[in-house]
Amino acid sequence: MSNDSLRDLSLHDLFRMEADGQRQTLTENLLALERNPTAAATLEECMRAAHSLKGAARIVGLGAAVAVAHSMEDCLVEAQHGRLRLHRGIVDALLRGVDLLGRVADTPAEAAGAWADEESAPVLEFRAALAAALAAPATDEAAPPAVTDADPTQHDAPAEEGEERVLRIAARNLHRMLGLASEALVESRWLDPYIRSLARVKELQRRSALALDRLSERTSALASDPASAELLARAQADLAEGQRLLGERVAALDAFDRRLAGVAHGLYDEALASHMRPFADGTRGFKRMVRDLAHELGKQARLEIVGSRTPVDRDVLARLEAPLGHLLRNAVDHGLEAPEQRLARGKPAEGVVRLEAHHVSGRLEIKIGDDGQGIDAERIRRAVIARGLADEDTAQRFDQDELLEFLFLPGFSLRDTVTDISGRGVGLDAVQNMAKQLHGSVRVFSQPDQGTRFQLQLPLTTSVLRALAVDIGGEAYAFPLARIVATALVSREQVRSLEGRQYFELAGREIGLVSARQVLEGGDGATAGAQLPVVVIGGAHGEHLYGLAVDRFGSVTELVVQALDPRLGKVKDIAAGALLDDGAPVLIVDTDDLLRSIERLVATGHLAQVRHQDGAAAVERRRVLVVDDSLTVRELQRKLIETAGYAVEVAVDGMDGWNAVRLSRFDLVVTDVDMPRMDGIELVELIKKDPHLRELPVMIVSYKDREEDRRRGLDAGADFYLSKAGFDEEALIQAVADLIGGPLA
Amino acid sequence: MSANEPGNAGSAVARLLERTPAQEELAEAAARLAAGAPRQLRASAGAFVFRLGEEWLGLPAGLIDEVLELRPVHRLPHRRDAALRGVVNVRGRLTVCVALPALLQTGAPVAARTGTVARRLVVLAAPEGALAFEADEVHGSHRYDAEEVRAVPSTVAHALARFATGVLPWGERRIGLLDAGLLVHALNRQIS
Repeated sequence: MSNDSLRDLSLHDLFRMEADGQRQTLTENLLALERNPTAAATLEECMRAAHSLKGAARIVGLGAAVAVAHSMEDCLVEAQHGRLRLHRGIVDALLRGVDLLGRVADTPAEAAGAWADEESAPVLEFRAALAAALAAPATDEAAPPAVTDADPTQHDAPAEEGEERVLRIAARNLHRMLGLASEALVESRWLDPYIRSLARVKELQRRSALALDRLSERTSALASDPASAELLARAQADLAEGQRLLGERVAALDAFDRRLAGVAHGLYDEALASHMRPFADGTRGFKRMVRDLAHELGKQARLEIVGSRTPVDRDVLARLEAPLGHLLRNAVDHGLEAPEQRLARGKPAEGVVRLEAHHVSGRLEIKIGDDGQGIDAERIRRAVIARGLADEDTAQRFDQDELLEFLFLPGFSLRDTVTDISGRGVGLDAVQNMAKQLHGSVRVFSQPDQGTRFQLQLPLTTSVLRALAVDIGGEAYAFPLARIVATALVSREQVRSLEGRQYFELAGREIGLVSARQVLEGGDGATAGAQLPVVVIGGAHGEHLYGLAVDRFGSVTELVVQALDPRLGKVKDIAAGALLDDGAPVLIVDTDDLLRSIERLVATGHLAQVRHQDGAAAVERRRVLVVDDSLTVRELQRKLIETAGYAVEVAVDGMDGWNAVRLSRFDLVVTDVDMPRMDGIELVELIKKDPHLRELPVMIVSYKDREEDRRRGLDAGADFYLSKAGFDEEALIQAVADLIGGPLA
Repeated sequence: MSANEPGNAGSAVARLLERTPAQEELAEAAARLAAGAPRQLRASAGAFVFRLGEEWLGLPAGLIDEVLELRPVHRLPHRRDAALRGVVNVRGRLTVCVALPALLQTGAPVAARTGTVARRLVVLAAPEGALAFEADEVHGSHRYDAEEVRAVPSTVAHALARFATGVLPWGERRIGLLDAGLLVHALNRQIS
């Protein structure tokens, strides 16, 4: 098949494909050579790549590429014979040669004629640069990198992973294939119970054979009647033959079942695997980028990539490249100090940037860390105040995490001077947008003098999730194992009650009991049986534990996560769907969402009691929903608006807010813009698109006060845009009153 | 070997096949074909016919992806919209399942009378993504003459009338032809 598809390609296309691969090899090996200039195997591989490229370029008549590859080859051969030591200047020149080869190869066939000449200007330039580099002595060559490079295996890793040819396949086809493969798997399981059902036929045969035997023993009269005796004997013989045949057939069917199951499993595993690519596929250019950038800035930096083989969804991988590039550039530019500074602080002159990819509890976690100077939280605080984003008082109340969040604000930068590389404050904004689009999140951690670490949490849309299947209200739900704190069978006597709330004790902790049916379906919490199956879930750090009473525990299974149809929007409390072994649909619980729902349920239950005592007046107050992810801001706004006499409910992000407005009536929504899971703009758009909610006024309160931000908010449909920078309570209350009138309806 | 070469066609069959047809024969054949054409043209419209409760309904055949055995449908929590049944496994993909009777107000299924044997899951290939619904019975494809289609009588239930483009006589029965575009649009809105 591959031959057929190659046949359609022109010679030029073939050259481009080969050039892609060889350039990759050249870049990787040149970077390795820079650290270890005499590694024979690396030199050999580099030389071979240049040589092959030269031959290929000659066939397609690209003289320029021939000349460049030829010069590179000469240079590498010299190095192989020990007559030349490849220092940084030479590697720089050679890498530029690789770039030039790329330019030649990527020129469309129609325009490639321009590269026919071996003496064309770019080639002469390259030759001159290379000659200059060869002539220059390796003066500023820093010895330390070669010394720190005591572990050569690290650089050999990419080569060891092997370069497999990659095909492009439309995602839709892959999804289909995966669906069909899982159906094949489900179908293949049908045979086993069928075979077992044949045991019943076997048993019936055995019993009739036994009956016939007894009959012949007991009725001796039969023997005296030859005709009857013959009939009996024939029946016995036929039955025995039937038994033998059935046994044979069942055995054959059994063998077939095993083969089929094997094939179906293999097919399924392969289909799954083909949706994933190793992380290395999306990180190829980064080592060179970090090196070039560091040189440009007069720094020394090394990029270490951990988890190159971590399988990453191909769609996710494609969208990761740009944001990761941003973060790596940031790390080299902002994070790492100049070599002298590092030495003075007792660190090696060469800084290390680490890029790590792992699967953590059904999500892809990517960390980008450096061992540089870290981010000074106080500097952010000063910048926040200086830019009028918050007054002194409020700014002093922000904790470290909240301060770091400001880095994701568009236009926010700690740099006084803008460099070409970063410092414009646009990068982090883009990174956050990408993470949100993928329904993930990005967080930043920083320790002064020890470094900065960005952590991306992204979903693996088609990743395999280990989960516990349970039965809730007659339907299958699954809890991600990683988010289950404990499971328990709680007997009736163990359930105690405090102020009308049920709880039980587990490992010395009192855990509130909530009916899963009630949370998910809003029904009553009736659960029968003496033993209550309970799934205990809680926040990421083991706080806010709740016990969810389910109807029945199922088994622990590996689920292939399927995103729910985007037309459904976000289904509250549900993260995704999957298929169980028998092909039945199962919904995967969104633990964070569920915890919020429970807390809301508990809170509103409490609220209902308060209201009951308050009398009728409270019910008629106008209701405002405050949506903000910062606890400080949220509570401040709640307090202000409540003091003015309105009834206030809060939501912790756009998604939470969107769920809230659909479940309960509000007169006004006050929302922040930058929030995890769903930002304020999206929330406004959803509200204004919804036929039932369209009339609901929305006010945006944001730190983003540039004209374009304001316009973006109003374009989305917001009724009012209030800047947090000039935030004062009167303006807020006035705006609320302007939009919906006084507190009492 | 040489017998197979055209020039050496020895057999009578070969001669017959290679003869040039007479002009009048060609004209006659063309006329014969032309006479049959309007009949074909008339029966060119095709509908996928299925039953919901008492109503026989028709959708453009091109909208139907496949018809499958019934299978369990998983409800979605917090979604109480009657037109949204939940998600169902269609060839390994979770597909949104809708309840057409709730949208068209055709009444409850008459499953009690006919049994559930005839019920099927019909998968629609909507441009925005597949949708499935449960039909009480599926007849399959039916070709008809577009001129046979009559106007929707005013007695048809209000909600159904919005989606019906016409009524097609089918023996003793009547098929309500549905506007596929409007139906898909309404379903897409209903499920979000």
